[in-house]
Amino acid sequence: MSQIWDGPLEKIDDYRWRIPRTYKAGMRVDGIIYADEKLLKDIRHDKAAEQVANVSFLPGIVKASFGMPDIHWGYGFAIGGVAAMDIEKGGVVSPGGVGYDINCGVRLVRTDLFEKDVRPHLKELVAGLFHAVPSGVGSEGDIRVTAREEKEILVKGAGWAVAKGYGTEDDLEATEERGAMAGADPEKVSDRAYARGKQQSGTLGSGNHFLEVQAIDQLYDRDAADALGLVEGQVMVMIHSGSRGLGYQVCDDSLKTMNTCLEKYHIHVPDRQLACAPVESPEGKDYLAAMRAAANYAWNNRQCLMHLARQVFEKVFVSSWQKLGMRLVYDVAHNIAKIETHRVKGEERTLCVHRKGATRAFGPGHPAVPERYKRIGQPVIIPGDMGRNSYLLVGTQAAMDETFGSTCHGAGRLRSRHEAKRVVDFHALMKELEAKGIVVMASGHGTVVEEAPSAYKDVNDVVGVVHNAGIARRVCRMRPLGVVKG
Amino acid sequence: MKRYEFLKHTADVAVRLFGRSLKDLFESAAWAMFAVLLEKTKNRPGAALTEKEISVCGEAPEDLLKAWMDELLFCYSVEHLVLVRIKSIELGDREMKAFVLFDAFDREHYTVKDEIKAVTYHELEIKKVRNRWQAHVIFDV
Repeated sequence: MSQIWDGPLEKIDDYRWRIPRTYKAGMRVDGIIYADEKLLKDIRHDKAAEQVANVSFLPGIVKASFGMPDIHWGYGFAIGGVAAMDIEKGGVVSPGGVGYDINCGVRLVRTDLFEKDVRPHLKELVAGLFHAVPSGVGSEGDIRVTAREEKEILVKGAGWAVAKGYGTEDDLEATEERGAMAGADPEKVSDRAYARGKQQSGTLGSGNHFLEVQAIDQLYDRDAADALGLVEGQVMVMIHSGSRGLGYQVCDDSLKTMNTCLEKYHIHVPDRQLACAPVESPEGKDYLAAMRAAANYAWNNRQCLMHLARQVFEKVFVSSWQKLGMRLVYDVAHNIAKIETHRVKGEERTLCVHRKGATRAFGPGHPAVPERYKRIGQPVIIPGDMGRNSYLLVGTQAAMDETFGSTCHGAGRLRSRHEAKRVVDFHALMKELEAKGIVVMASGHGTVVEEAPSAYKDVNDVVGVVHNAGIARRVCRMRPLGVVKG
Repeated sequence: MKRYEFLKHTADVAVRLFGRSLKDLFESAAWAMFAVLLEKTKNRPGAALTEKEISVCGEAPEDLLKAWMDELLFCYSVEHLVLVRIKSIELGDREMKAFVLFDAFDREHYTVKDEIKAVTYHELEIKKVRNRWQAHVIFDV
């Protein structure tokens, strides 16, 4: 879109900007966007800020409709949005506030290997990962799942894979929700959703999903890095994937239902994609039960993908993954709605927190943070584009106080896929990445070009804002060595 | 007359559809969707095609349009069918029925482009501009 969004953005401080609720009739709370002057310019280039304002129309919303610095134009909710609704006050849940790729998320695995160990085997390693991990549009995997098992996965999440031997209890401990949300109901998932998710367990998918081999190139917080067992030069594996066709269909089904019941609940939304229903209504409960099932599918999927990646490392480095130190650091969801308790105006409230393109960032001591990270806070994994960096951060008390324990999720798109395809030359891009020592394998030219670094904001700027604003704390930065794209 | 044009959108694919009639607009929607999904790289003369009857219902023309595209997306993503020809479309106020011919997808004859996760309701709109029909649709890719 070529026009500039010219709505009001009042400066609160160097990293916070307010869209006052007086901007539009119907806004229940202010919009607050985390950004610096540089990112704000990009944000004004599309309709993301308008969407932050639109979300504040939703019943039960408390505090503010938040936009993270990686925010960009989505549909309904912007991508990079956080909104929490007070359940007792008629608060709603909106499938558009989660998105189609339910529990699209990322996991980070450490290794005992260093860049110098991996460099001589890098091509073999990336090729091995590319062949072992089915990727691309509608890809189907080797991990065969029966119809009965499919339903089990929706309840047990990553625990299903672990019971099959594709991982350990230790992996579950390092996964948000231990890899399975309670309250998932496979009966609330439509036949269509099952059909679309069939045979996609253990597949990466396409678009922005990836598997990367990375090396830590900068440490920011030695104390937290020590607690995480991380040092400079260490090789890491990052996996970004979601709930595949199953999640897309769950979202679509629920939007259809909720569009028909808006009148019944006297809800007015400025965009049909914001369709919603009270959390306590039958439609709200059904959606949450199906959404949790899809979220569990995604956690199982990432567990299976990690298992496949560990097997490839075992083959290439002729050792067991345990001996290679391939322990899961953490796994976080980027698209999800959760029932959580937070303090609002000094009072404990039960909220439905929507994170759409945002990461949970619980601070030190929170009961949901695994024992081993209690002191430093919950690990937050922020993937960047394939030519620049990715980050590991930890959650903070400031995030708990301000954003319901939430922070950014990635670099944030700057240029449309269409535009990227038009301006980026595949061969030139591959040369540029090769010159940086990055080995890329992808199932199609299209996704590589669409995901070119120039299509994204600089993740360093985005992470700089959340760190400086205090809603997460930088621990270390990674640089890609090898990339497998869908 | 062109059937569709792609518009600028940061994260997703936005398309403007054109039609001489509402029926024609629905046909344009189908072609636009498959243009996002894949590209034909090789002709397959004499291939056995699959004929399907697709019927959907909805409260408003926009709902019908979305439901029609949802059906086509399902045919592609689950049954791996590729649109070849729309034999007929019958359009009522609250329902539509179409007979469609599909080819079976294979990597020899088709190159996969983008994965469409869903047809969104965001800014979904059908309007009549002079004596032509137009619609605006955003696909989540």
